[in-house]
Amino acid sequence: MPKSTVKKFLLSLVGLAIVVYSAFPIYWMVVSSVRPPESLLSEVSLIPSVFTLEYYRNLLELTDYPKHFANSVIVAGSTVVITMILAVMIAYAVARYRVRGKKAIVVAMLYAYMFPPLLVAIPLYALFIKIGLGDSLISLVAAHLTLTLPLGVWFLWGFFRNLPFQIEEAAMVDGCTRLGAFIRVVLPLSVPGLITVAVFSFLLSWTDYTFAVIMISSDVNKTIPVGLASMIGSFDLRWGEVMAGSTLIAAPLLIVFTFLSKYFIQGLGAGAVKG
Amino acid sequence: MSGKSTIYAFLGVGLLTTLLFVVMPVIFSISLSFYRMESFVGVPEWVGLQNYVSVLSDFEFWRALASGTIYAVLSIVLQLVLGIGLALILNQSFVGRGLVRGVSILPYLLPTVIVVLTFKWMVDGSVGIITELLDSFGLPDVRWFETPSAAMMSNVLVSVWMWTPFVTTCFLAGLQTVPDSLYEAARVDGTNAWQRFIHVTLPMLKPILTVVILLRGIWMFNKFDVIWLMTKGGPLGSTENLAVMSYRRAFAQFDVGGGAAVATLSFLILSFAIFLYFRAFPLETD
Amino acid sequence: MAEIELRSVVKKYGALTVVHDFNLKIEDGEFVVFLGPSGCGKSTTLRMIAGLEDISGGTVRIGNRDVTHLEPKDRNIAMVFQNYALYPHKTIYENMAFGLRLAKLPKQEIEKRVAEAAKMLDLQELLGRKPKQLSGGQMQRVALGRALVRNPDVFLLDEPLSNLDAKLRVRMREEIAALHQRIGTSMIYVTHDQVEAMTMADRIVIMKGGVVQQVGAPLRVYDKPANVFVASFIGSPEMNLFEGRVGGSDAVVQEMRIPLGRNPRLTDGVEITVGFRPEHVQVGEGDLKFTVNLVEQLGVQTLCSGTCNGLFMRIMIERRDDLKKGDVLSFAIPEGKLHLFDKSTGSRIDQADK
Repeated sequence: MPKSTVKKFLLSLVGLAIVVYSAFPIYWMVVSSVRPPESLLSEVSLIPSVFTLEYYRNLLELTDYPKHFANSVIVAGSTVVITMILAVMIAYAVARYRVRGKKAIVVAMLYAYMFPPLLVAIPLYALFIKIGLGDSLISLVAAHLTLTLPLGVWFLWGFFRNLPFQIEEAAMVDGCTRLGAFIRVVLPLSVPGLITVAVFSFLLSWTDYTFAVIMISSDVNKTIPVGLASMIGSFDLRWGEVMAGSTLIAAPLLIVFTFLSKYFIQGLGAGAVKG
Repeated sequence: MSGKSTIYAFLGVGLLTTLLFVVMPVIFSISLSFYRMESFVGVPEWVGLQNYVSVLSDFEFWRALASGTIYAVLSIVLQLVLGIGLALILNQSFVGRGLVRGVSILPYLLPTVIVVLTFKWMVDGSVGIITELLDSFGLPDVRWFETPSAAMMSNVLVSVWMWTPFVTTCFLAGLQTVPDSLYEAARVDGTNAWQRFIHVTLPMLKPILTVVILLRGIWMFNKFDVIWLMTKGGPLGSTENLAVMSYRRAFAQFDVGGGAAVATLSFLILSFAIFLYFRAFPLETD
Repeated sequence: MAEIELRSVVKKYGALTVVHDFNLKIEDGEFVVFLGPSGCGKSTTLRMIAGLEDISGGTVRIGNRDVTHLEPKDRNIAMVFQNYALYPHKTIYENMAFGLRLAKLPKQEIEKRVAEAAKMLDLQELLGRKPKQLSGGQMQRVALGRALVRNPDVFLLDEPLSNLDAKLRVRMREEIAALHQRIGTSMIYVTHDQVEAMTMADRIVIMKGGVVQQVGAPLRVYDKPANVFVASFIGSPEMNLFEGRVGGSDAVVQEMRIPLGRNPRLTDGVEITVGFRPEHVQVGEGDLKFTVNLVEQLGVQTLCSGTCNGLFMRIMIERRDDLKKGDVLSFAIPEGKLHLFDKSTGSRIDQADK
C-alpha cells in the first residue's frame, strides 16, 4: 500500500538525520585531526584532499600525552578489575542471603550513586593527602570505585536474582561446597553480566574528568581527559593536536563498543527495566 | 556450614567496602564542613555552623542553586522528549534501522572532554564548521558563550546531545515489553496514534520512566565536568551550579570547609527532592 | 441488518500468499467458526475483517458497507483477543468504557451500557478492580464485556479460550454460546480446537495453508468431510484412514478388504483413500477382524486401538469392561459411514447417495 511505503521512506530519511546528528561531530573530530595545518582553519570540505599525521606525531613526541594515556590505562584497568571482584562478591551475598540488612545495602548503593562527586572527592583527596598518597593514581582508582561499585552491585544483584538457585543446589548435591558452587557454576554463568559491568566500569573510569581533576595535580600523573583539557590553555588553541588527542581517547571506546555493544545495551536495558 | 561462612565472608567484604568507599568519605566530608580549612595540609579550625551560615547568606549559593536547577530541569526535559521520540522512531522497522540504532548510541560513549572540545572547535567564531554553515545560510552569528542564557543553552545542548541515548536505550528496551495486542485493542476501541501513546505506551512504561527520570535527575543536578569545561561557570558565574561552586570554594578560594558545606547542602537538597519524588511516584518493587 | 461478505480476499506478504481467494457470506446473527491448524490463515483472515491487517486483494463488506479500506474503529466491529489485551492500568469499568468515551457517547449512555454488560457477564463486583487482580476467566469476561458495550455489527473472537485451563474452557464455551443466543449478533470465532468449533458453530470454515477446505454446518462437516484433511481434522478420536484401491466391490487396503456397499460406481483399480470413524464401527458381525492391543476406558465408552490385517486402527464402542489385549472382534462398517477420497487429490468421492 502506498501509504506505508511513504511512511517507510520518511522513516529512513529520519534515520539518516539521526545518523548525521549523532555521528557528524565524531566524524568531524577525526577528519580535523588529519587535515594539514594550512587548510585546517580554512577548508571545510567533508573529506580533506591531503592527509597528515603530524598532529599525532607532535602529540606523542612533544607532549606528555603518552604518559597521560598510560595513566588512564592503568587507572581504568585497575578500576575494572577491582570493581568486578568486589561487585560480584557483594551482589552475590546480597542476592542469596535473606537478611533485613539487604535492603539497606541496596538503598545505600543508590544513595552512593546520588552523592555529588564533589562530596566524595573532597574528603577522599584530604584523606589521601593525609596518608601521603595525594596526587597518586591509587587515589584516583579509589575515587572511581565510588562510582563503579554501586552501579556494578546494582546490576549484578539483578542478574543474580534471575539466576535460579537450583543450579547451585544441584552443584552442592554433586559435592561442591558453597564457595565451590559459586566458582564453578555461578561465575561461568555470570560472564555476560560481568562483561557488562566491566564495560561500564571501563567507560566510567576512562572518561572521568571530575575526579581526575581533583585527585591529581601534577602533570606527570594526569589522565588524558584532564591532560587534553589543559592543552587548550597551554597550547594556545592548537586545534589539530587537540582533535588528534581526542580521537585517540575515543578510539578504544569505539572499539570496545563495536565488539561488546551487546553487553553494553543489555546493561542499560536490564538495569532500567528491572528498576 | 561452609555455605553460611562463605556468604558471611562475602557480605563482610561488601559491608567493609561500602563503608570504606562510600559511607566514610561522605561522613568525613560532612565533618569537614564544620571546620575552617584553608588548604588540605593545614590545620583545620573548628567553626561549627559558621561555614553554613556564610554559604547560605552568600548570594552566589542561591544563584548556583537556581542555575543548577534550571540546567538540570531543561536537560532532563529535553533528554526525555528527544529520547522518547527517538525510541519511538527506532521501534518502527525501516531500512537501516540496525545501523541507526548503533550509531545513535555513540554520543553517550564519548568522554565529556572530547565532546566539549569538539563542540568548541565546531562553533569557534572564526574557523568552526557550524559557524561556517550558519554563515552560508545567511544566519546571524550565534554568541554561544557570551550571554548567560546562551551559555546555559550551550551547556544544555551539549548535555542533551551526549546523554539522550541513555534515555533512548532504556525506553526502547521497555517498548519491546508492551504486547502488540494491547495496541490493537486500542485501535479497535478507536484511538489514534497519539492516544495510543498516552493510554498504552506511557502507562506500561511508567516504571522505567520513573527510574530514568530519577537517574537523569541525579546526574544532571550533580554535573560538574560539562559546566566546568564549557564555561567554568561563566559568564560571570551565571551558569555555575552547586558542584562547580563547591569546587571553586575548596580548590581555588582556599576554603575547603566552605566547599564541603556547599557539597553537603547540595546533597541534602537533592535527598529532599528525591524523597518528595518517591512520595509522588513510588517505585514499583517486585 | 449486518451481513458480512468477503469476496476474493487475499493476503500476501511479499511473494508469499498466506490467504488464498477467500469467499464467504455470513448471515446476520450467524455464529461462524474459522477452524484449522496453526498457520492456516484463520487469524489472518479474522484480522483482515477487523482491519488490523491490510488486505492484499478482494473486498470486505459489513452490513452493506465496503469496509475494505477503513480503520478498525470505523467498521463497527468488536474484537476479543487471545490474551485479553486489557489495559493494565485502567479499572475494569474504565476498560469497558474507554472505547465509548473515545466515541464521545454521553456519560449516561456509557454508564448504562457498562452496567448492562457487567450484569450479563456477572462482573458487577469487579468493576473497581484492575486486571492484575482478576483470574483468567474473569479477564476473558471483561474482554467480552468490552466488546459487548460497543453494540457492534459483528463480534470477532481470536482464540479467546486458548489461555484458559480445560475446565474453565468448557464453562466459557457455554457462556459465549449463551451470550450469542441472547444478543443475536453475528460472531466470527477463530480456533484450532475442533470441539469448540463443533459445539458452538452454526457453520464451520475449515482452512489449511491459507485455502478454505470446506464450509458447512458442524454435522454436515462431520458426516460428509470434503477431503482427507477435513476428515482427519474433525472428530476425536481421529478417523481411521487407509490408502488402497478399488478391487471389485471392495476397497482393498493391503490384505484388508472392506465392502463398498451398493452401487459402487467406481472403476476397478482406482486408487483411493478410505476412511471410517472409530465410533462408527459396528462390532459383533462382519468379515473383518480387529485385534485389540490397548484398551482405554472412558466411562461411557471404550476406546481400543489395535490392528486389522496388520493395519493400525481405533474403534470406539459402548462400554465393555471385559476387553483385553489380544482379544479379537469381528466388525463391519455400516453403509454411509465409509468415506472414500481420491488418493491423489484427497477430495471426496461421492457414491450414489449424497
